[in-house]
Amino acid sequence: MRLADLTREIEAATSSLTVADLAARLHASPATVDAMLTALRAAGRLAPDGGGRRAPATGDGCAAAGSCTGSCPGPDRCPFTVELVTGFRIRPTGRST
Amino acid sequence: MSPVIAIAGCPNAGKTTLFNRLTGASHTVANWPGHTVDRHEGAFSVAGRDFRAVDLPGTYGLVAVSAEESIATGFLCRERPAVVVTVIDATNLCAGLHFVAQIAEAGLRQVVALNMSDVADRRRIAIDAEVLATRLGVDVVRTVARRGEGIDELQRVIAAAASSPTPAPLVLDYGPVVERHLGGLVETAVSHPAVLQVGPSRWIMLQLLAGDEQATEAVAAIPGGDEVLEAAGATRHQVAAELGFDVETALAERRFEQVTKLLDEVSGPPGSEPTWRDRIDRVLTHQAWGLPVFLAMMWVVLRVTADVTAPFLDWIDATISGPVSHWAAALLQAVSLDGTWVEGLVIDGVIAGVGGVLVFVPVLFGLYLMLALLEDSGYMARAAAVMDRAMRAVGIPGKAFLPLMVGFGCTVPAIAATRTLDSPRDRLLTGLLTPFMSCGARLPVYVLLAGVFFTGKHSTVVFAMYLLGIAVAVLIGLLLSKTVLREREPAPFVMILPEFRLPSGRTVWALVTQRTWAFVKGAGTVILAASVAVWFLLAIPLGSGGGSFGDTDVEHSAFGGISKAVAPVLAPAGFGDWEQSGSLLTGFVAKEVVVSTMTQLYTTVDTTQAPAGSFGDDLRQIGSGFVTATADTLRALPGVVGLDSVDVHDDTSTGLQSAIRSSFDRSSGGHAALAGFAFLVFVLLYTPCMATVAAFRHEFGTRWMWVSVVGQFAVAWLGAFLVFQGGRLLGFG
Repeated sequence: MRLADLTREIEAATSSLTVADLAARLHASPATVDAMLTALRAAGRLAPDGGGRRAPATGDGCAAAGSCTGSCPGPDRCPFTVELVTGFRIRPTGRST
Repeated sequence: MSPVIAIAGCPNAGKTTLFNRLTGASHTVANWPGHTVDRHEGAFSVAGRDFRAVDLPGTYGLVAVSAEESIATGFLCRERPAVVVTVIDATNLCAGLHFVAQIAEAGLRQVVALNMSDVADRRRIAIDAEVLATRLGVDVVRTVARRGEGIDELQRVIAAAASSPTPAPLVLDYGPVVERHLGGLVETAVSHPAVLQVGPSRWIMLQLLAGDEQATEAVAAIPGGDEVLEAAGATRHQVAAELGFDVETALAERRFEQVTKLLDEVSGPPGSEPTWRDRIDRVLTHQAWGLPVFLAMMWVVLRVTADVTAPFLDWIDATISGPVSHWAAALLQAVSLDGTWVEGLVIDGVIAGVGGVLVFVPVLFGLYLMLALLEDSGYMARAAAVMDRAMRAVGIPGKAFLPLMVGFGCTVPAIAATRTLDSPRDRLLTGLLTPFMSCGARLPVYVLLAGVFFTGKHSTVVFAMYLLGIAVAVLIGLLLSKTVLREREPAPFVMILPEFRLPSGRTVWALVTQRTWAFVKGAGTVILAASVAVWFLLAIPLGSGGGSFGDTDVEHSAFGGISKAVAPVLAPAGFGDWEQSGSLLTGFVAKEVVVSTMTQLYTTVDTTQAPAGSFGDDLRQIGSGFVTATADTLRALPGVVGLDSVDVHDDTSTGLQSAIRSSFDRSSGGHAALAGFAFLVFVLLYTPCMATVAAFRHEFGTRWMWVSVVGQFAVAWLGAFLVFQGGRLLGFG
């Protein structure tokens, strides 16, 4: 199996996919698919699409500020942080040159 | 000027911990990727020689695809530091080697810190560091940055590397087609000497072929750069035409092959058989079984929440209505305020109102504990994957599930969490659906009324409320996405799920206590204010026959008058009594205020009738109550997984429960249970609390705020009406 097969599979998908889904579709082990996705990430072929543990809001202030029944402890200690699934999308080719 | 040492590598490899160890700094370290979003600087000395260290955001390679990665790659490629310390997570060698290879291709001096070696050893991941060093031509140092192991050696190696000559760039073989065209491109670069100021010619051309925007900008800025870019663009097309796929993937393919080969030599080939984690993932995220598993998990969460914590609920209730009320009454007596309106305010207003909500702290604690365990074990990410598919199928953005999950805790931050969605349409749609998720504040209402009308089945009713909220959100989402918020074509998306892990006690405890404390603070601020306001409205007589301030029949108070004006609107749904409409009115302040208002309206703590024990007796009562509650909770645990357990529920109705039942019996013409269920449906669906409305306006504007407020009220009324009238027609209740 080649990386090109993997990118084609992702591009053809109509819903989101996990490593387990891709492994089943491509008849490969999850470890192999994981390694191939790592290669695509390193090459900039996959772009991040959210992920990691995050407070509900960052940047220009939280909509909950002042209404969180007390003082806001800030994004690092916000009690309503949530683990977002780390997602990646195929990045369009031929971007710059 | 001190040589610059860049600390770089993939996200979550331990760069900041290592940076702190090297420099003695104390930047916040987080165990999730993307925490470092800007560079940090510090300094250290080795044998009297000073170095400037720069901690860079994580990046998987030198082609930046996000703002954080641009900071890292921009620094590495433009500043060309004296030494790059590439931090590799020893348990994820594959990702690290791709990065090492790219740094070596760029011709940068490099030292590899094989970090988290202790974890790799524990997992029996064998890594031959010597082979790695020889094959890559770089120094490799084993480190455990968390414990400071290997840091001294790393400093010595960095100092030596900084004095060594610049290495020749690593040359990987990109295959005959790419290499043939690359040779011509390199000649073009060499004919424009200014290009060589950007970096080694072969590497620059590879970056241009890979579509790296920073390299493109750098080349475009130099004399003759346009010609080089034109040649690179033409080559991209030629290579793609010859290979049958894009040049970026072609480059990645060849690098993958060579990194895999190196990985085999250093650490052995990746497993070809699925691990036990892979097998569990197949079940938990399976297209058919994933959803039932998720629902089963939620069932367990709510059983624990509603059943197992019930003894503690009774204990707090007994403590507040007993000893705490006695102490307050004794205190008022001591300052000669007994028998005055102040006593009414403290006992019937503050203690009954705030206490009525604080009783539910164990329930919230149970909910937050279970959710935190699921979050920290990695299950919630699996649930998100399952729900993503289900929601996309009905036109709701899959990522909406994450803000919706936050909504199970509190709707206000969930509205703020919609910012994690890219498209304004998806954000708005998710924002409109979020209030349908059962927030923690609604849980006390569910537990109270389910206990009144559905004894023995109350956890099933609470579970049904959660499910109904999700179902209504899906239906409304489907409706909106087919009408005013038409769906766009969803882009393909790959989800990388975090590894399963044993939940960390520290993380879980922090999440549970912080969230529960937010609820307790709410009782001390918003609910206290609402309880006092309700008490004053109850104390103000309406009309000439209503008595005097503080000594009025509640039905003829200002609160009673306002509630009676609203009651007819709710009568068709079976709860048209003024007490019920009044409770729902105050629920606009915060949903748990429904409970505190009911407590104020339906019960009056008569402290003069309660047996007043000594202070010591009260403390003994509290202590023995806690022991009993703990024992009852332990006895209730087997019931969660369906095993026989001792029924710890007290079937004796309290005065509050009897009063609520009588009220619903009256308002529904004898269909109390049906009206009670309709009331719960209304509480689930109706206009969110004022903090949520304010957050909604902040995020989506006044117009959509009104759509949410009016729309939800209409949906709630219709839902409650259908439940009550439909139920009556079908002979329920």
